[in-house]
Amino acid sequence: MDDPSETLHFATPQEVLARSDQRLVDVIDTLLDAGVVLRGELWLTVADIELVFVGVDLVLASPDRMQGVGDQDARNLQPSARPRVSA
Amino acid sequence: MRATCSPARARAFRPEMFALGVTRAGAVATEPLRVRPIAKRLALLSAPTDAVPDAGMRLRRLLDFHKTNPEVIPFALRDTMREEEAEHQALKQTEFLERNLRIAAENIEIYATFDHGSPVLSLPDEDVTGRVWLAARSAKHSAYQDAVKRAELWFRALCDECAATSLAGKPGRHGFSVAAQVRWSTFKAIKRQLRFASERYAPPAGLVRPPLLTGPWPLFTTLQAAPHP
Repeated sequence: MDDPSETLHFATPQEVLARSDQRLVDVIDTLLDAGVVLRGELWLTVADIELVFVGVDLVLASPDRMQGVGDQDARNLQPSARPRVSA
Repeated sequence: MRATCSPARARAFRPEMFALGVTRAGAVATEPLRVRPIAKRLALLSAPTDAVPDAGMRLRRLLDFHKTNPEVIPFALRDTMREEEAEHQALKQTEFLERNLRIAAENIEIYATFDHGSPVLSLPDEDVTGRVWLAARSAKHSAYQDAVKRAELWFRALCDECAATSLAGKPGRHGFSVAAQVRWSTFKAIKRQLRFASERYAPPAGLVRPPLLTGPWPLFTTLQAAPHP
């Protein structure tokens, strides 16, 4: 830790955006991805009549993260994939 | 003479809006950002699509807003989300968002990013048996998980002195990040400690370089903890 460049300090968000350091790219990647929810919908149709609808909501998070969430606040968090089927 | 315009025609001329996050009703945004109330204490923060053409620009606009309006919870910024869809989503979890907006007023997120090799192995060579490859893969994953745990403990130790809430690590392309939500006043204290006592915070065992610390950020990880609508 003698090298001044290795001294711990905070880079501001503006510094992160202005630089293209590989490590900073990771930070921005993480920030942009935070809270991602994927949504998929599927309709099965015969002769223009909708027979089956399947909706899938998928929350993307690491298992550790989900575990942490369970320990903290969101006790009513649903399973990560929740198929809804209606006919 | 009064000009008239059908609702459909008006919609056609209205620029498409992209939602950046939620904020408190009554917050003031500068052009091109717009705050539109959707509930008693909740509003959508959005911008015309052409003013925020890419994820980097969306992040910049959001950070500008956060400087003067700390009560903001960002949506994921990588993909565009139309205002109507965002409103639909936000109204499903109004109570959660309003509660977390109050938290956002006094809290920020900080990140520690650590260098580490990817735990993903390339496909096995022809002369490597499946058993050997699987063993190597397992060892690499274990080493990665150990490193993440050590990093979390290190970050927790740094923040615990100020009673922060530590969050789990998240993998990136060149390493992984650990996020913590801390109070504004705590952030100032951590910065002061780092300035005068960096040697106390040597990188955890097995991680060669000190972590890259960044912040203050808006509460990006909040929506990951949201109850599923």
